[in-house]
Amino acid sequence: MNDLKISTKLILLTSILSGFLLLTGWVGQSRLSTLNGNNESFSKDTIEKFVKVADFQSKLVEVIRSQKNAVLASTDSASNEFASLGEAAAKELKKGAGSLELLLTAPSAKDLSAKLIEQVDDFAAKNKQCLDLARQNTADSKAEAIAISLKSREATDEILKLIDQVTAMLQNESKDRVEANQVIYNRSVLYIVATTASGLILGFLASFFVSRSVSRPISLLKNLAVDMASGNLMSRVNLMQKDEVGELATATDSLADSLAGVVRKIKNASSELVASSSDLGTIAKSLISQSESTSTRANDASISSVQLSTNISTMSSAAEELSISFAAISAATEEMSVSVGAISSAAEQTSSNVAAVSSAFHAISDAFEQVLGNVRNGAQVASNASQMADSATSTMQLLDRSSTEISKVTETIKMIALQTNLLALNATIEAASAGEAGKGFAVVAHEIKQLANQSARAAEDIATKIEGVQTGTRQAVGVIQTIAGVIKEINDSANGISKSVEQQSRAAQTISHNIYEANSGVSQIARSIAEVAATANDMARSIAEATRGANDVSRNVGQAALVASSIAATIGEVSKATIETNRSANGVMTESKDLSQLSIELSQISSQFKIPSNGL
Amino acid sequence: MNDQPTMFCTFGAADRLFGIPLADIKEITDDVTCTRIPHAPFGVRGYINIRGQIILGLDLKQLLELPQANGEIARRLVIFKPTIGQAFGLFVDHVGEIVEVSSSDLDAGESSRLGLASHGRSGLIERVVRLPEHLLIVLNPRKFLPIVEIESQSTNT
Repeated sequence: MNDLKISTKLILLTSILSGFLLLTGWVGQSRLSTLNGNNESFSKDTIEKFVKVADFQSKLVEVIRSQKNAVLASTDSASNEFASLGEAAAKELKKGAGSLELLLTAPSAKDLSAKLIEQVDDFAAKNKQCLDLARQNTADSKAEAIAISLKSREATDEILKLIDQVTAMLQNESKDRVEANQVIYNRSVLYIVATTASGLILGFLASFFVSRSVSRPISLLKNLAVDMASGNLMSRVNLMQKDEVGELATATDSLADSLAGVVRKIKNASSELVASSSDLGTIAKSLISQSESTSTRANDASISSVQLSTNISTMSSAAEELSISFAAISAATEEMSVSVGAISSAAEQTSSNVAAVSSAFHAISDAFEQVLGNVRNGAQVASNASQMADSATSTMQLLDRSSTEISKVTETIKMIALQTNLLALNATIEAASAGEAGKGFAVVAHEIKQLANQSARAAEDIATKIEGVQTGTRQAVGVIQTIAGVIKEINDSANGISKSVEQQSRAAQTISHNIYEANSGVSQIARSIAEVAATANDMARSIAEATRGANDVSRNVGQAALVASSIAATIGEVSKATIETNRSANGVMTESKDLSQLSIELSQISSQFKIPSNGL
Repeated sequence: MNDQPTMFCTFGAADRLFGIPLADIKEITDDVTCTRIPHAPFGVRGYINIRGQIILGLDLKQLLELPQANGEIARRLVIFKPTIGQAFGLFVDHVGEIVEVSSSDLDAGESSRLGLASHGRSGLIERVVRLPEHLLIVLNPRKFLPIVEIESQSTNT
């Protein structure tokens, strides 16, 4: 049972319940069908029996009635008829008595039926007597018949009494069968109730087991979870069940195991942390004391190095002043040398500049000559252009005149075309009035009209084109005349240029000559100044050497000063670093105190967890 | 006879196309000298000498009250047959093509709807016929002389 899954258990439970439901249904159905069959046969039998009894009674009545009729009948034939009817009825009655005997099953009924048959026989005999008398149909026989009939009435009463007994017996019988049916019904009810009850009990038991297998482990798991929440990691479920709940329980157990392991590790780590933080505190303390002593020593060294540095820098400034004085002397001499050199080179440059100016003036003079030649050529070209423009203009005027003539000709052509057109029109009119005979002529006239129209259009085209030529020609004449005017203006200005260039050329030649003379004077000056410059250079070189010696001294002292100040700076840095170290050590101290506090708290927290001692 | 097309001589005046049945025209001339007559009735331009015959010249634009082109005078003269009226012609702007109009098109032309009555000056226009590109205003030359006569009588009295 424990190895099954919950779903399988539920399916089992459901199938058990439905099985019992089916069983109950089947039992009820079978019992009810039995009961129904019993009832059916019972009602059929009972009705049949009562019908037979009633039949018997009715036959008896019929016998009596025919007897009475036979006795009372006035004619012979009627008496005979009724008598034969009465005999037939009596036979039937006898047969009915026999069948009534078969109806009764009870042992006491045998006597009753025998008595009934006897009575019936008696009655039948009397009836026969009565009927025989009635057949005679005389007054005596009739009176006798009435007497016998009265006797037979007594027999009839007896029969009726017996029939009542038979009826009572039948009633008793049916009552017995009803009771038997009642018993069958009661038993059926009992069966159904019993089956249902046993099904219910079995179902209840099965569901109890199923719910127990689910709810018990869950409550165990709940307890475990509560324990874990309160910090107790000792408890486990240890459920040996293979269904889903069992898997959950196993998973929860392993969760508790791993949690316990983690907590144990935290505990160990925190106790180690407490130890190491106290160690760290001790180390930080010793570091602080050492760094304080280092700081004191570094301060002392710093003060001494500052004094050294001051002394050296005093010496350095003295050397620098010496150096500067020498440098000033050297610079002054060098400046002089440079100035003399500059004068010399300036004089040389002046000389070369003057030469350059002279040659430039020569070039200008040549250029002016060329310009003059060009201007003269230009004047020649301009007069040529002017002549050409004039001839072009006259040609254009000729062209204009001929095109005017052409347009006159086209005008004439147009006129002729119009006339032809009109002639053709009149011809058409004539042809139309000629009727059928004029048809061919009308065609010709139409052709002529077309030709006239075409020639008019051609003349129009020529006129338009000639007009275009004329406009173009006029424009060309205008342009050429403008060009001629421009060329004339160019010619005039070129003449002006020619004149002024000639004047310039003359002036340039004069200037060129003057410059040549100036050039030789400047050359002499340059030469004298170059000599002065050489002497100044020698002096400058001697002074520079002296200056270099002074500079060396100054540089050495400066280096010493630099070294001293760098020592002071180094010592200062040492001091600063020591102070930093001190501060850091103090920080370490504080941090280690905090750490110690934290680790103690952690240790306390982890000790709140109860963990199994045998694990990791 | 009826299903044969009617031929019209067309001519333009003031940008409109007018037509006169070709059968009514005797001839068309141009470059004629017109002798103007003082106190001539409205629509009459003067007399013209054509090969010795004196012809009365009427002015179409004046008769139809069309705008006169600036300064240009119609010089083409359409001379009608004697059956139309005795010795008269009509000055038009320029003579165009000869067009043929089928009798069905001619019948389809607008006449009655315009109210082109036979009395007064509007009686000059007989109908308007649709050509492929233009509308042709067909004139009735038989009406010209009577209208001029009526006009002259009314101006005289």
